[in-house]
Amino acid sequence: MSETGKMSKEYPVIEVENISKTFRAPDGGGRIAALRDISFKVAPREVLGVVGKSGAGKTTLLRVLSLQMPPDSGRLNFGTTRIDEGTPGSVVRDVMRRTSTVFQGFSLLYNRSVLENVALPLKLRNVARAERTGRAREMLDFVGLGTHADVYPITLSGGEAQRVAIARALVTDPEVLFLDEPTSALDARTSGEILDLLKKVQGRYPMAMILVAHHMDVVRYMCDRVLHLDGGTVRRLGPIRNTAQFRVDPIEALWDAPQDV
Amino acid sequence: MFDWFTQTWTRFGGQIVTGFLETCYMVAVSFGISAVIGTAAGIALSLCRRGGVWESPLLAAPLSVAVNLIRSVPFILLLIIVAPLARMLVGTAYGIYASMVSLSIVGVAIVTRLVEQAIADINPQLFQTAHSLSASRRQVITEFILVEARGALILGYTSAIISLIAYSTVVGVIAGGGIGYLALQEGFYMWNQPLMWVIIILMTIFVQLIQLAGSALARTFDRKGKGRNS
Repeated sequence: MSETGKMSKEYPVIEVENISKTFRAPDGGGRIAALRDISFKVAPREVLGVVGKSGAGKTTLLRVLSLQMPPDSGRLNFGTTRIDEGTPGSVVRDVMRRTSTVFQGFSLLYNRSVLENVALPLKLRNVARAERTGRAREMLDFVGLGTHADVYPITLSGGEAQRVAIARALVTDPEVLFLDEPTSALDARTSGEILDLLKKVQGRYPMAMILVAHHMDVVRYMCDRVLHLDGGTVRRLGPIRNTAQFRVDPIEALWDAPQDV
Repeated sequence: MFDWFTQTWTRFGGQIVTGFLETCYMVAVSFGISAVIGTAAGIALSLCRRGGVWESPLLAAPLSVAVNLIRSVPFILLLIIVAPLARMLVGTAYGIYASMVSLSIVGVAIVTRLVEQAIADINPQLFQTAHSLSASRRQVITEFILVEARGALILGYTSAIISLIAYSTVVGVIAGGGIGYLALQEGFYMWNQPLMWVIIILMTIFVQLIQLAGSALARTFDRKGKGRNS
């Protein structure tokens, strides 16, 4: 990674410029716009929530930001590295390797032990076995699963599986962590434990987080600012002003000033 | 009661053992070739077909047609069609080496389809995970597909070996050697029923053992359904 490409305090961690993305309609007639001309910035160490109804474009936005899907038009800046349609694949991969994603469905590999799952991103980067095992153990201890290193994921509970997924995401020391509804598959209590773990991550590692969530209490608990997507456009973007919910529309309630109620 | 067995064994025991070993040799070599080429072709087919992660119909379509062609030719005719090729490759159109050529061709087609199926059964999220971990194409295959599908692959290979054993008995008609040749020449043409039964029993036990071993291996290497302490 070149020094100039490094994300630093002076630059937003991610700068999104006029991103649009369309998909072919399922019936084959024409295209559906998933994202329309989206622009925003994410500051270092910021936790940005992305909310909106189903189909608003949240997951598409996350996939575009995590470089798993190219936009149709627009640019992304990661630190000072600009990514557009002309960017070589090797540069895109370098930037991808500075980010990690945690999925709703954990996405663990079932034929690998918990330790091997956590060490896998390092193995893919050709890190020597002793080093990757050591770092994976460290991360497992951090997420509270140090004793589960040698078991296989089939034996884990949902909460444990998500802890392993978080350990795997952290093992590469990413600058940005993408969280795609990380607690949606979990019960309320386990969700709370995972959110506490993410808070702990936030306190210990200097990374920005972009969190897609359906539950506004999750957003309230975790996020500094919220981006409200509606029909593929940014309806609203700003810091959370209201910590309790009174409005019927749970998303709009995030910005209610107490005196509005 | 087992007189017929002991008599047959006394007379044909040596030939049975030789034939059996020849069959094992033919099947082992043809399976080795089939596994290497068929696995590569099966991976290519499943990933490059329409809707696959590396969609490439120009590669997938001809491959699929070639596999179907091989599988649609009756094996006994394939033996005859392949004879010139066998002569070119191994210098003869008869015997176990010629048989290996036909068995490998049919084996490649069988393994290709079994591998394609094993990969089709993988959770599609695996590819998303691999992509998000920025795995290279080679790593997607070696670190994700081959590891996660290994239980299904082992079962597929087991099934392919058993099919090849069945096909190997047909090569008796081109004097292909092996236990099939013995069954055909001495058992069928000379109408030695006890010999046919000995061979049938032997092959049944052999196939059972292979299936048992394959299933056990698949269980050992596939951790998707195993408990914490197993």
